[in-house]
Amino acid sequence: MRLSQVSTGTLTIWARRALIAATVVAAVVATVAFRSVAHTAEDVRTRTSQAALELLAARSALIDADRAAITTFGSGGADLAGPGQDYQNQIAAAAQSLARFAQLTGSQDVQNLQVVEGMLASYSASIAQADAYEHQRGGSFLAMNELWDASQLVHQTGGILDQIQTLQQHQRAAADRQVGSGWLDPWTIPVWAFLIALVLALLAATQIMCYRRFRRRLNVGLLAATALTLILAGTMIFTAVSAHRLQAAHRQLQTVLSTRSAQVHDADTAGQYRLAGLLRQGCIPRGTCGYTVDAFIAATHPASAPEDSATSARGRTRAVNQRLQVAAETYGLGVTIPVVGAGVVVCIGAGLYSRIAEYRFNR
Amino acid sequence: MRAFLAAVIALACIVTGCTGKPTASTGRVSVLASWTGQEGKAFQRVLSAFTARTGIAVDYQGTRAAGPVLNSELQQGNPPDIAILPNPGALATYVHSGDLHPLDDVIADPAGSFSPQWLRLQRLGSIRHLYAIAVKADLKSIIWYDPARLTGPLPSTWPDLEALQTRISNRHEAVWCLGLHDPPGSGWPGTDWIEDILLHRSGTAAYDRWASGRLPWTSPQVRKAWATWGGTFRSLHGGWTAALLTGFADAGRGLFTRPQGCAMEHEGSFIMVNYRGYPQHPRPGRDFDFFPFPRFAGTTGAAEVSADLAGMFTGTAQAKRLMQFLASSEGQQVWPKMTGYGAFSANKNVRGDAVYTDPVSRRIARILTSDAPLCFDAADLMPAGMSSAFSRAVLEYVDDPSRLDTLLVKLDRVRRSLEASDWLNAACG
Repeated sequence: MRLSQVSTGTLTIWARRALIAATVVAAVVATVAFRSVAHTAEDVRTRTSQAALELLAARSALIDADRAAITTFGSGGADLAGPGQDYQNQIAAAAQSLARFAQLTGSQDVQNLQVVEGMLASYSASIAQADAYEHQRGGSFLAMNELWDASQLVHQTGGILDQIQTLQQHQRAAADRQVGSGWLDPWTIPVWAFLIALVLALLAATQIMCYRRFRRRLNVGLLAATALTLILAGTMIFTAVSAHRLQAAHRQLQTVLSTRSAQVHDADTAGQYRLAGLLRQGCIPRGTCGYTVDAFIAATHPASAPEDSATSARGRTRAVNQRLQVAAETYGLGVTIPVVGAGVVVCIGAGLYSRIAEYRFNR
Repeated sequence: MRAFLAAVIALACIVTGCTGKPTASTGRVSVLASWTGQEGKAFQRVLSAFTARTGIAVDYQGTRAAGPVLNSELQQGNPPDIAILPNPGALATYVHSGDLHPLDDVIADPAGSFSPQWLRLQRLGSIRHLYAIAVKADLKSIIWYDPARLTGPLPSTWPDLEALQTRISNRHEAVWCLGLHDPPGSGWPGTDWIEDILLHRSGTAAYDRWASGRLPWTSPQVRKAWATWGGTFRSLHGGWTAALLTGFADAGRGLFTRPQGCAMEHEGSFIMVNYRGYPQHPRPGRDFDFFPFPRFAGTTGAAEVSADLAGMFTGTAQAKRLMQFLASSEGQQVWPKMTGYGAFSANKNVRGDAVYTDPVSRRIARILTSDAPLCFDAADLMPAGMSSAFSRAVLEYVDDPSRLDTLLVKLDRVRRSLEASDWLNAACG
């Protein structure tokens, strides 16, 4: 049967059904996509990115604590000052960062975190023991040996830094998955763009049909539905922009984390170089420290000057947080999109109702 | 209608995952152990063999902090089905708390697989019940050397060993390789020395009493063991500071350098893995070999051992099947068969050329499964506080041997501060 042979009433009813179905699908897709992007952006802003920053802060504080302890013991001031106030502050900061990370992270990291916390307790106990040896026996070799043990707890294969790195890798993988999948995948844009285009095409075709079959220049209901569909398209473009902003903020966060990690590494290199010097001087006879320490000394070197200051890195972290804030902003669209979708359906229904009634009356 | 029914059945199939894999119908079992890295991968091959045999999937958690993780999971009421711990003392605490399930109804004929000594050790102090299975065993009462450079008759008694030490020292060469550094448990290679001397000089009865907290640290037997070990300090490679700073895994490097850094090392059988990884790629039998720890006058040749013991924390059918597999000859030989991993089985049916590919490993396996008296590493049996004080005292003794009596008095204070129920009476089998 050809289209010209279909009665006007049947065609109008089919057009209304097709329009409403396509609009409902487009509105549902728009709502789900927007809410998914907004939810992910909020999750990245409040949880994933903060967890990554807390881990880096814990790593940094721990390295600073170790370096502070080495410096204090190396300066000979430990008999009065213990491992030093700087050490105490940094070790407390590391513990606080790990506690905050624990609140932010999922269950898959709990086991690793337990290992880190257990090893951190062992590290603190070892530094306390070094302090005790320093007090009891006046700068004995045991104090330095204990300092070496403690520092290796942090640095050795499978040590605290390795465990934190494992957690960081988990976090990175989770964040990459978050911002690269689901409705944040760029391949979803053609899907919703096609749906919006389909609704607009159907509205245009129905408008033309009404002109030809009912001799009406413009159907106001369909015109309003078209306007609302364009608004719907605008919200989808906003969704795509939010997704893009989120991905850009995520990339910027990774850059900031890499830069800060390099700074932390430089601080660590300086601390370990200092420890190597202490060990070299402390071995009896001097210089005979055994295979493990000889290899350690050979691997250490003076730290290079940091390319970037911690202050500017903090500034960039703030900038990332601001970008995440912008990406997570919803402007109330979570409610607006379904309302607009419903408005399109109502306008289509109202626009075609009078034509169907007119056809039935004429018959 | 038929099409609708077919669609419903297909959907149900997708939802329930009827893929034909056996895991869906045979269930899962969770295992917690301390093996990570290469060791973790090796153990997972054991578990894969179990899955291939039974169809039961295994969820493996490997963490260096297996003990604290187990404790935490038990407190949360969510323990793994099976946990494997390297220290029997820690596992035994769960016998007292009632968390560990006895294996009497699980392992059908333990006497057919394990010698009476290993069976006693695996009872974890219980008189009647079997509570654990040794998944991986190690021999500790051995001394390593390079057969190409240490020629002539090997010492079988302590005076022979002292004479050998003197000969080597007279050539101005270091006798002993020693590395005590292994945070957070630095010092344990020294505790192994003291345990071995006490065991071989004073016998299993004294060792048993000491390991269970009934023989004071200040007793003549224990003091003599410390002092005898202290006699080796004069001929340490690199001196005493190097011994404190050197990692236990690096200490043996001196055996293989030219000129040789040190002539002998007292270390457990697990050190073979480290030796094989050195730049010279030493091969067992050709580049390194061992002789048993020398006897003292009037004592028998007991051997000190250590083991990673598996205990069952739930009574599921899957957990029982895995325990049966881990105890079986089939399960016990998977790991030892992997060349270069230095794993040994306590199962007396697992030995010989088919399992161990080099003569050194075969001799170790024979001793582990022989009728000779075996004693667990005492430090692994002691309460955690005692064990860590022992390790620390070793470090302090190496730093200043003149403080021996002070250290022993302090160790006795720690011993007396512990409850009698904290100690495990299962050192020797």
